[in-house]
Amino acid sequence: MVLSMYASVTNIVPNLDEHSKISGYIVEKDKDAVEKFEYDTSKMTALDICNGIWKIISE
Amino acid sequence: MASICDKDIPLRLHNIDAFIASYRNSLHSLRATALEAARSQSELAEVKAKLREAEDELVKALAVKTRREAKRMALKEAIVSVKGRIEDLKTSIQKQRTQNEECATVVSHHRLVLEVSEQKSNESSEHRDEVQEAISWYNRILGFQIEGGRGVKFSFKNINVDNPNEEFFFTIRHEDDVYTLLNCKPSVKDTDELIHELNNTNGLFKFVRTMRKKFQEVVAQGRLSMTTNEHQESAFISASGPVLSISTITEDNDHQDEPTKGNAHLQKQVNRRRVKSAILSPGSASSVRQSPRLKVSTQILKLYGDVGSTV
Repeated sequence: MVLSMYASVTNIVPNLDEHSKISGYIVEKDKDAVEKFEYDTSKMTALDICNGIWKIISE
Repeated sequence: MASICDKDIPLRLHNIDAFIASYRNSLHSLRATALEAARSQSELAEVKAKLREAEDELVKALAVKTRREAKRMALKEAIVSVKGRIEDLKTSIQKQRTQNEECATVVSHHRLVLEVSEQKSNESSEHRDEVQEAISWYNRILGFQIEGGRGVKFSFKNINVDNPNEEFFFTIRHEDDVYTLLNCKPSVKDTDELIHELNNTNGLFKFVRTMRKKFQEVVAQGRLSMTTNEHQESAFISASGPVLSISTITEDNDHQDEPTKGNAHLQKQVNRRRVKSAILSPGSASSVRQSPRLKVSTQILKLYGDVGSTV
């Protein structure tokens, strides 16, 4: 129940297998499309990664 | 005449002698008879006594016989009763055996159910762990948290660059088909309009995303206010030193360029490869690398599909 709300607000399906990188899929329900994203934690700060993802979410 | 008396007298004497002898014999015989009778009387008494004893013995024997007969009857009844009880016990044993078999069947069934239940419990526990891991991902990576309670509280972090751990939150309550904003920290402009739009469109998820933007605007407003202060200082300085004023303006330009550069950096890092909706079909799951962790992602996709159909 709570998990579905997280997924619905963010439109994000995380890839839990990757530990060295932060990656997953952003689902665009209206366009019926899935966009993959990937961030290297050694090249970006957690803050930038977080806001980067939110920026894509809010497009 | 004398001759007749002479003849009769001896004859009469002879008769008298005969009579006397006969009487004597008869008396002797009577004495013997009397003795015999006396002896018989004595014997009779003895026999009567014996008879009385025999009768007593008979009565006793009859009593014993009666008692034994009664005992026999009692024993017979007891035997019949015991036999009946034996039959009852046999029936009872049979019934108990049947019940035992039924109980064994029920216990066996319950054991199976318990095993299945334990297996489900283990799976459920595993599933719960995976769900918690996914939620933890959202909390950690996106700085986003949802808490249920009186209303639903949405919290954000990583909004204030100077203090990434600063928490921005609002609480929404949904009752009688109406959304209400219970609290909002920090305060945001135009919340009434946003709530009104939320109630019209029922777009809670979009509302949450919009609120995060509003929080970022609040922080940006805060920085803009500081910039305004700097500008005033700059204006104050320009009255006395034009050269310093130009230098300050140059710094502002540099500051403005920096976000653009950062955005470009962000754009570069994102691998924008558009994948068609094939990823959502079950068949494509096999093409993706299989792993236990993927189960959660697949489940999220399913959940998302369900939510979409609900909308």
